[in-house]
Order: sequence, then C-alpha cells, then structure tokens
Amino acid sequence: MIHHLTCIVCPNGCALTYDDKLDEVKGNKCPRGESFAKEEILAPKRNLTALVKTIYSNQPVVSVRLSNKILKKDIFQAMKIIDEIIIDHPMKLGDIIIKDFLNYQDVNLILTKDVKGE
Amino acid sequence: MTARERKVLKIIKKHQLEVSFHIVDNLFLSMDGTVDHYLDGVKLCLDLAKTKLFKHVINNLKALDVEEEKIYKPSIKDEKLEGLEYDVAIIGGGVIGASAAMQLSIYPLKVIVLEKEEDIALEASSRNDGCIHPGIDLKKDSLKLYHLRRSLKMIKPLSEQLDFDYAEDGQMIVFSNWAYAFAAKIYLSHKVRSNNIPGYVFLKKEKLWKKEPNLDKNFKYGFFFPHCGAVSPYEMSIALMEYAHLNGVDVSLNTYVEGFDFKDDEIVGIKTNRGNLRAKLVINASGVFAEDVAKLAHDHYFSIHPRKGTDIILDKDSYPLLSRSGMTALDSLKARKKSHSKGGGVIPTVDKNALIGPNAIETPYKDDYSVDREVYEALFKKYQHYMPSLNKGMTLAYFTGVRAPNYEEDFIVERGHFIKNIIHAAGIQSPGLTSAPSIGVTIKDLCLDYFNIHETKKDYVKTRKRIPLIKNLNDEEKEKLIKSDASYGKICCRCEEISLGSVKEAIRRCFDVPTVDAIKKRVRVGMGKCQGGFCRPEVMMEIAKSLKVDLKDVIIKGDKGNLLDIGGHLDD
Amino acid sequence: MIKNTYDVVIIGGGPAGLSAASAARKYFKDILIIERKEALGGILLQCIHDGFGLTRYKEELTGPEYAFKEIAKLKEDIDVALNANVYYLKSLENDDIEIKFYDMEGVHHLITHKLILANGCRERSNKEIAILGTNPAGVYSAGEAQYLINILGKLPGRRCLILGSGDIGLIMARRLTLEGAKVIGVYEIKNTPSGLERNIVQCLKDYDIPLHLSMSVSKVHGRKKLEAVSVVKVDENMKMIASSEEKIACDTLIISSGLIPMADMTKKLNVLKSPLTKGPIISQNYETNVPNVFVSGNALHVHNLVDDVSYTGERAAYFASLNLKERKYIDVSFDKNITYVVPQRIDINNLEDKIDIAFRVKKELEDVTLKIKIDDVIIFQRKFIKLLPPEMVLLNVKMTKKVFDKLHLEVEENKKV
Repeated sequence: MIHHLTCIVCPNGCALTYDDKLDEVKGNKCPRGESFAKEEILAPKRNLTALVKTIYSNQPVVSVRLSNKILKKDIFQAMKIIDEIIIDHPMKLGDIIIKDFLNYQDVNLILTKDVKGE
Repeated sequence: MTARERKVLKIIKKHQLEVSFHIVDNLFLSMDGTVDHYLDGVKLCLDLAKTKLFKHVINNLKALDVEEEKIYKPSIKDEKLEGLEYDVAIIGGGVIGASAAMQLSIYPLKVIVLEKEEDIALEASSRNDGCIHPGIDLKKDSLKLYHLRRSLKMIKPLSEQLDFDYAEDGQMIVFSNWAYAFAAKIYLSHKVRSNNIPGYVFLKKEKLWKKEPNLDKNFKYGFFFPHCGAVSPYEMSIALMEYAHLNGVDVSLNTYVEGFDFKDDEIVGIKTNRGNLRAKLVINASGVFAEDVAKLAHDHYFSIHPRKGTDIILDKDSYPLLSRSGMTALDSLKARKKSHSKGGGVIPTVDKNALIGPNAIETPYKDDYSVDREVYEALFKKYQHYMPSLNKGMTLAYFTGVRAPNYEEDFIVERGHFIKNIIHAAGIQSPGLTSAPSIGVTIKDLCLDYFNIHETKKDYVKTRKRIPLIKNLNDEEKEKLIKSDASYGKICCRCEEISLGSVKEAIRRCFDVPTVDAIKKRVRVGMGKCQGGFCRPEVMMEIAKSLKVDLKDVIIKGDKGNLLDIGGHLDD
Repeated sequence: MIKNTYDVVIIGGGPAGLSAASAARKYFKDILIIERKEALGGILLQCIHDGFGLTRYKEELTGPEYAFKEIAKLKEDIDVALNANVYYLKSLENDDIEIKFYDMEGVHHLITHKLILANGCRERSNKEIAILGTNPAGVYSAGEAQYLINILGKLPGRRCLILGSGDIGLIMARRLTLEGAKVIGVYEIKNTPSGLERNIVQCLKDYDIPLHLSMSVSKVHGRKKLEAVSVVKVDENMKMIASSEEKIACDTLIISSGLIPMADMTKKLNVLKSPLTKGPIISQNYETNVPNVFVSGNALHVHNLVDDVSYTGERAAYFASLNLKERKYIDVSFDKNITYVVPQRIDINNLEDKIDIAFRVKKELEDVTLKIKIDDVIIFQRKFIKLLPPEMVLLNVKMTKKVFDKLHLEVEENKKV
C-alpha cells in the first residue's frame, strides 16, 4: 500500500509517498526528504519556538527556541516547562537558558533575542 | 363617541388590525392591544399621527414577532455618585446632551451628564453621516425647521469657538430627467421661500459636471445649496462636551439610569448603577431610549420607533473620485417625499474621506448596530448608479446607527407633561445633528427659566482647543511641537499619521477611563487603511502606562479588559 | 547626526531595507536608513517561528535571529534614524530627492541622490473583506495578534476562530494553541489553502485544528465584545450559501486575508501603481517611474520568503548604484495563467545581462513549462511539476538579446506523452 506525506523540512513542502516497508520514499527533491519520512513515520519530531517571561516591563517576553527537534508528543510538556521560566537579568541571543532540555542530550533551550534589561 | 374617536376607529379598520385605544389627558392617543407584526403597528401609529388630532401617538402595542432585546448595560456597580447633589442631570451624552451641557456650563448651575456607554457620542451621535442639512425637506411649521434655521447661523461660529471642523462644501441634488428637474425647481423655489432658508444655485450639464466631474453624465441638472456641509458628528459632540467639562460640568460614563425617586409630581432622585444621586431638574436626552426614560420618569406621553441606517466610509484615495459636495441623486421626487430622513447620498467627510448612505429601515430593536450584508450590497449598487467610479474596494469602514423618531416625526423639546422637573429632548432624528446647537439653547432657556437664573457665571472658559496633530502643522510648527514634547515626534498610527503625543493628550482628555475606541474617536488612530492593525497595541500600551495598569485591564470597547496572559490552560 | 545630503536613503529598516543598506556599502559612501519603529528588524522581530534563511544562510532561523544576522552586517558608517516618520518626499529637477522626516528630536530636511523604498506591506483589514454584523472588540488581524502574543506576551482570547489560511494565519493557529487558546478552526473562502502545505501539516494537523475550505465568515456578533461568529459555505463563485450559516461561540476572530504593499511613500512621489500587485510599477532595475526611486521587498509586491525579500533589497541597492541613461520602457506581457509579473516593464536603454523576473500563477497547475519570449523567440524555459497561486516564483534570467520590442511570459501545460 502507498502512503502520502508532506515533507516539512523546507518551504518546498514536497509531496512524499512511501510503501508499507518504508524502503522506497518518492517525491522528495533532496535527501532530507527521505530521512524526514522515516523519522515522521516512526517517531515524529518537531522544532519548537516559544516565549519566556522577563521581569522587564519594556520587554515582557523574549523569544526562545530549542536547539534541536524533540518528539512531537513532548511538545506540550516542553511548553509547561517554558511557561514557568522568568528571566531576571540581561542575556544575549544564543545564550542557553536550559541545557539538556527534557533530558534530551543534544537539546538546549536558547534565546533568539537579546534581553536588554531596563 | 366623538368624531375624533370615530376617525381613529376608521383608520384602525383601514389597517385591518384588531387593536384598542384610549385617550390620555385629552391630548395623547395610546394604542393598546396586540399585533402580529411590529411593522403593522408602526404603520398604524404613523397614519394616526398624520391626522394631527392628538399631540402625540403612544405605541403601547405588543408585537408578537418581536423578540426580547438584550440592551447593553455596563457591568460596573459602585457608589461613585451616591448622595451627590446636582441642579441639573442630563441623561444621555450624545450631541444633544453635549450641546445642552455646553450651553448650561457658563451659568451658575451644578450639572452632571449621565451616559450609559463608556464614552460620549457612541450611538446615533457617532453613527451618523455628519451632514449639516440645508433644510429644504422640512415642514414649514415644524420644530425641526425652527431649530435647523437657528443652528445654521450658529454652526460656523461654534466650530471656531470650539475648534472643530466644519466643511462647508454644500449639498447638491441632481436629476437625470428634465421633467423631474423642472418640477423640482418649482418645488424647491417654493420651499426656499416658505421655509425661509438660503437658496440654491441651479446648475445644468457642463456647469454641473465641472462642479461634480465624477457624476454619471445621465444626470444633467443639479440644485446646489452652498450654505451647508458636514461636520464629524463625534468630533463636534466631543468638542461641546469638553467645553462643558472645562466649565465644570461633570461627566459620568458607564452610568445607567435604572429609575427615579419621586415626591408628588416631581423627581427628587436618580437611581443608577453607580449610586443614587439627587437632581433638581432632569434632562432627557437619551436618544432612542428617550421613551424608556420617560416611562421611568412617569412621564410617558410619546413613543419612539427606531429606524436603522447604515453608512459606508470610503478610503481617502476615493475622495477625489467621488463628489465634491454632499450629493443626492433622484430619479423621482416621490422617493424623496416619502421618506422622513434625507434619503442619503455621497458625502465628502471633514476628514477627506467619502461616505455613502444612509438607508432607513424600521426596527423594533434599539440596540442593534449590526450591518447587514443586503444593505451593504444595496448601498453600493444604489450609489454606483450615479457615481460610476465607486467600487467596493474603496471600503474603509462601515457602521449602523439607530435613529430615534417619534410618530409625529418632529422634535420634542419641552418641559414634561405629568412631571414638572423634567425636560424632554426627544424624537431627535435627522436633521438632529444640524439642529443640536439650537436645541441646546432651548434646553438652556427652559432650565434658566426653571431656576429663574439670568446671569452667567463671572468666570468661565471662552474657547476650547483641539488636540494638536503633527500632520496639520508646517515644518516650523512641527519642530516646535516636538521640542515641547518629544512624543509628538514618534508616530503611532502610520495610516493617519498620528503621533504618540496626540494619543497621550487624547488619553488625558477622556472624561473617565480611556478606552482604545475613545482615543480613536479623538485623534483618528486606527481609522486608516489598516484599521488599527499596526497601532492598536501601541495605544493599548500607552493607556496601560498612563493608568499604571496591566495590559489585561486596558479596554478596547465596553467596560472590561480584552487581553489575557499567555501560557496555562493547555489541558482544555 | 543626520547629514544634509546622502548618496542613498533607505526608507524602512526591515529585511529589505537592511540588505539594501549592507549592499549599498559597496557602492555608496553616505547611507541613511529611516525606520519608523524604535528598532531595526521590522516584522521579523515578531515572527518568532523558524523557517527563515534556508536559501540565504543555509540554516533554519527564527525571525529575530535572521534579523540580527542582517543587522550585524551594518557597520557604523551607516546612519540610522529610529522612531522616524517621513512626511515629505519630492523628486527634484536634477532627479535628486528631497526628504523631510521627523523623529523625537525634531524635523530633519535632506537631499539624497538615490532613494530605496523598503517600507513593507500591511494586512488587509476586516473591513476591506466586508466582515459584517457588529463591530466588537476581539477581531484582530493575524499580524496584530502576533504582536500581542510574541512582543507583548498577551493572548487575545481563549476561543479563537481564524479566517484565511495564509501562512501567518496558520502560524498563529499554532502559536495560539501553544500559548493556551483553543483554535476552533481555520476557515478559507477559496477551495485550496493559501499557505504552504508544510505549515498546514506542522501548524494545523499536528494540533488537530480543522481547516474548512470554501467557507467564510458571514457575520460577527456581540455589542462590545465578540460573542460569536457566523460561518457560511460558499459556492464555486465564492457566493455565500445562506442556508448553510452556522453560529459559533468564540471570543476572538483572527483575520489573515492577505498583505498589500504600503502605499504611503509611493503616494507622496506620485509613483505609478500596479492594480495587480497594488505596489509600484517598476523596471527590471527595480526603479519606479520616478527617476532614482527604487523599491524592494514587500513594498514592491508581497513575497513568500524573507530570503527573497533580502535579495531584492540587495538588487535595488546595486541598480541604484548605476548611472542610468535616459529610460525607455517596453511593457512586459503575460498569458492568462499568470496573475502578475514583476517587473511590469523593461527599461531597454539600461539593460544588464541578467534580470530578475517574479511571477505568480492564477490557479494550481501541474506539469507545466514557463516560457519567456522576446520578440516571440524563447530565451528561457523551465519545467515545473507543480505551481501554486500562493507560491511566488523568482527567476534570474539571462538576456540573450538586448534590443527588442516585446517580452512575454507564458505558462503552458506539457503535452502528455
């Protein structure tokens, strides 16, 4: 049986097809499509970007991201942790807020903007 | 049975309705019983009023097709006004209430305005085309004509004294058909004489098209009335009220009148959601709710039948493509004579937008400000007929207002009938905005008479100034303004070019808690192309800053905040 | 300190303006960026999601990260005016441009030899798409909702309905869900989604948010605050089917119904506008009908990718650096499958070896070939497996002939073998 899937690696959004055995992924314009399909079927992962609160009134929230993908099923748990954080000192874009986020070895929660302070 | 009663029965029979009536105080006709359709009752009452056998027709008919209406009331409950004593309490902060407050404010009287909405002029006084009418369609002996004539003399000096815009662009009525134009010429000449109003200029073909280059060339004849134009209805109302406030009039917003306390045939107290206050004299300027207030005041002797009208505002790019004066096109004279409102048109606004509308639809619902799709489509269709360049892509905004006519279709500005210390300003519909300054004078005269006052206060403020807008200034003035307050140099609304300084000043000038919409009405932030998408958050932040509250508590409309904190609630 | 004269002034400090400014350093000495807000970066600062920079930086960046990379390229020799509003633009007899703007210090008056407009776009308002009914609080554009959440940290409501399936609408559906709101559904009047398939998957499907095609909002309810929205099915002509109307209780309606190039600056200069893009008409040199006035980014026409926006900024800066001869234009024509082509005309007196051509198609097309012809001779062709209306195609085309009378684009279906 042939299954359909949209690749979300880049804005091209290739329409992928694969069979039950997963040995032939088609429709991908680049190799990332194939690895995406395999991952998506077995254990789908996602990037996560979010906000954390600060104590500064001129910047009540600051944007953050996870440095790597986490399992899709962990997204809401991740959000719960992120919701609890409050930044209380100036920091720089790229600074790590939480290392090994949710016990993922290679995933850090990092700032995507500076926290300038008052 | 008297002849008068027989006449009433005959009209009821003609309408094929099974209703009863009784005559009150030999002056007023009360219609009683039940009708299947609301509109049947309205038509009957209108016919009965036309007989002029009674001073007023009161519609006490219950209509089976009317659903109970939930009228908006503020949710606030406090004691802000408890025990306060005033000479005059004006119920209603529309243009009539504001005009009365403005007139009274220079006399030694303690005056308060009670307004149920979160800002003044939120109902018919902002949901209005802003026309200053020439008075051509009014009946000779009407109170409408009396006030309009007096107001036309007042409006220009008033706009200078209170620093609001009055665009004296005139009004034009155009015809396609020579026979109608000819008949109109006779009719209009007669009306100009009998109504004693300034005359018109008759324009034919090239002269008309030169003045109105975008008019469909099928329309060849025009009657131009130069002595009228347009104001911004809320700008004028706000200017009047700010002046009153400068001279000590209190304005209580989010204040809903729930009832009155009486002693014999006099009102002694007013019950509101913000406490009970005392007032020696009450002014009923509550627009479409004037009958409800009259009922609460035990002075119910007239009826209001709400009439809904929708206007569409077009963007500034369309301004040069449409009419130069307020313009109505008529294919026949009948259409105009049938309706009590002016019949609408294409109208240049004082803010250099153009406006089309309004229409007129009878409705039992006083608080229904929704814009219907059929009406929106129909308005474009109607005006495209003589302004071919008009299209829906020009739409900037639209709104619906509810007019407040009585069955006699004439203003009521008088002392109450059963209650001594109430003054009604009721049945104020088109040309209500034009007539407002004069109505304010009459209300003032009635008040002064009641209190037997003849002299103004010794000291009072003579003029009111508008909020400075950077876009209206030349380079040197801009520089000076920014040097005086740097926030005038920081743009907030890019579409209308309104800077933060103007927003701050508008926040200061709100009579009570500033709302985003109140700021919009005062300085036009969010009234441009993007309709607030860029600037609304900035206005909200500025309000939060000035009130020292969290953004969650900043109000856009109504009396409650709009935003929530992010996060949480993930389990829902 | 703002100087009295500049070689080039760039209006707008978003991605188009930033790349124009850093590119301009190669060609010009005195450069000024005029930005309306308090910081450079533009709308990127509120686009905290990722997916930016794949072509320009070969990595997946969030909006703020992309913006900071662009800002880092500016050096101190570039003047920047923040909180600044241009209120006067005039093309002078010698083709210099006179500019007046004010900021919180006061009024500034200057002359520039070249002007690059990079002032972005705005969202279509709820009124422009005739959202009728009442006019309560609780109706926001997607960009405004994005600002409220991502910059101010406030949620517009708990029960949200989204009208329009453009990318911003889809991305907001995910943001709202992650921040604790319930997104009841995304409604799209067309029978195909407006946003990228990728966003439908990762913003809607991941969170079980339904997408309702061929449906629209017929009415909103609520006197002061939004209480409900009536949705309705539309037929193939996008006419509402009244009998299908359904009332849905919600406190927030988010409108994501497309972007329109800002016209506030072009209007001041009487720049000719295209009714198709709603942006200015330009030549292949990114120049408007007003000499020395160039346009880039979303102020020109709305792009899908910020990478493309940055590219147009660089290109505009390059063309601004040339000494263009007297302009001579021929119009670009195209066939019925194409919605619009930018540039709208070719300045054949000032033609470089390669030109940029951007276009969009009217409907979904599969297995087609784009052909570009000059004087009926094909100079460029490319096969596409699929072309979608939401996806803009930007090409860099080699001009094999420099003198011609006609440039024409067509998209043809490939013959089935």
